[in-house]
Amino acid sequence: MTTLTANLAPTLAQSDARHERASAAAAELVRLRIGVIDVDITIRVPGIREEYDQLYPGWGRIDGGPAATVNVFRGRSRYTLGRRFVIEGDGDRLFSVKRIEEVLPHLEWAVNWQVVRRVDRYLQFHAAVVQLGGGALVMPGSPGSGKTTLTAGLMARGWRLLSDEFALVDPDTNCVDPYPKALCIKSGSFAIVEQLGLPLMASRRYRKGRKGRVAYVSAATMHEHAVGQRCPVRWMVLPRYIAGEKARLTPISRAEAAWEMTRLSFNAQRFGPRAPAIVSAALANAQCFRLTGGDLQAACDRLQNVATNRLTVP
Amino acid sequence: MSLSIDKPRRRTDLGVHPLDDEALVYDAARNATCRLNSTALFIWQRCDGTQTCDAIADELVRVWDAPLETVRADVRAAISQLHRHKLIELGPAKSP
Repeated sequence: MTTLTANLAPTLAQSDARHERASAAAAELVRLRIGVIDVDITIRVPGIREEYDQLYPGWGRIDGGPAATVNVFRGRSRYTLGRRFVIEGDGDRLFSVKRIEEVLPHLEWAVNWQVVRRVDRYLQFHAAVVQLGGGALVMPGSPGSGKTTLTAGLMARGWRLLSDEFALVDPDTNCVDPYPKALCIKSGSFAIVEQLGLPLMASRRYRKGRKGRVAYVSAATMHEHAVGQRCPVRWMVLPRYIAGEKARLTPISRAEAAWEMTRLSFNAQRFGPRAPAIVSAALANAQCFRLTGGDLQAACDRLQNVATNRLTVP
Repeated sequence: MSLSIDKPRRRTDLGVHPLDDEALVYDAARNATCRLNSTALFIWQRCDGTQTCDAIADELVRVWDAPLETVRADVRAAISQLHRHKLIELGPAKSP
């Protein structure tokens, strides 16, 4: 076995070298501006460039230095030496996946990861953000809380997307800036999103880790007002999806909301003592709630009522 | 050494961020944030190393209009919690 491995390794190395030469000749650079974040993605896997062109049509850029850089190429597993699609950020291996349908979701994930690592200007939270009028609704939550499906439901009612994954709070303005990446929809919500009339990229199905099968809804493929602009936080809602339960919207104090947001920050540690001050300032004029339930339309109705002041909450 | 919760003293090296009648308290040494609701904040602000727990409870009763013994028990429980979260310091217990 040892002899076989020793004989095999040089062959693999030669194969890799040929592979890399072929891949290097075909490298494509995708330069995007996604809201306030500039991203460079170097792609050495056929077909992925076309997928990005479908996901973010018209969002290419020709100037500006990237805030986040990601590479994807064919390589090998470090453990089994099996062929993999490797995704790196600044030279660090972030993901290594087997199947082509896993590449795009992990690239999207890698871009987010690089934003966390490299973009120090913003206090970042794991949250979806949508805009109505001049105010942002921030929905912090862990995976599975329902924030993406809620985002889709509100976008179908005309709310504008600021972000599906990240709330970017600018400490200088206390406002949320846009980072409108494509919504990653899990298979359990495909039918719901299609019923909402949103443009689910139906021809493509992907796989993303524990989420399983996923598909995308991109604001870049929707009408020109689908994406929001920088605005202050007017509402903060902590969603928790509970299947079969009625939608309930319960007011909470701004302090409780701020504490929950701080817990869901990606980079509060880097801001140290400034973090709670920034969060407190961002929520200073916001109405804050917990939202539980499993009925999307009822949940969106309650949020719409609060936002349009039809429901007065102390 | 056992500690007495009789005259608790709040730490003065913490960042305090009021939000309405509550506050976020930031401990830079531990990079940890706590939320104090209005009652916890009321108690914590009176932990100046000179007031006893019972004195704090007496003041709280005047504000909240609740039975004294219940409030005294709640204040002691709150101070234990504040100490557990390292927001206050306790003095040494007096020897019998």
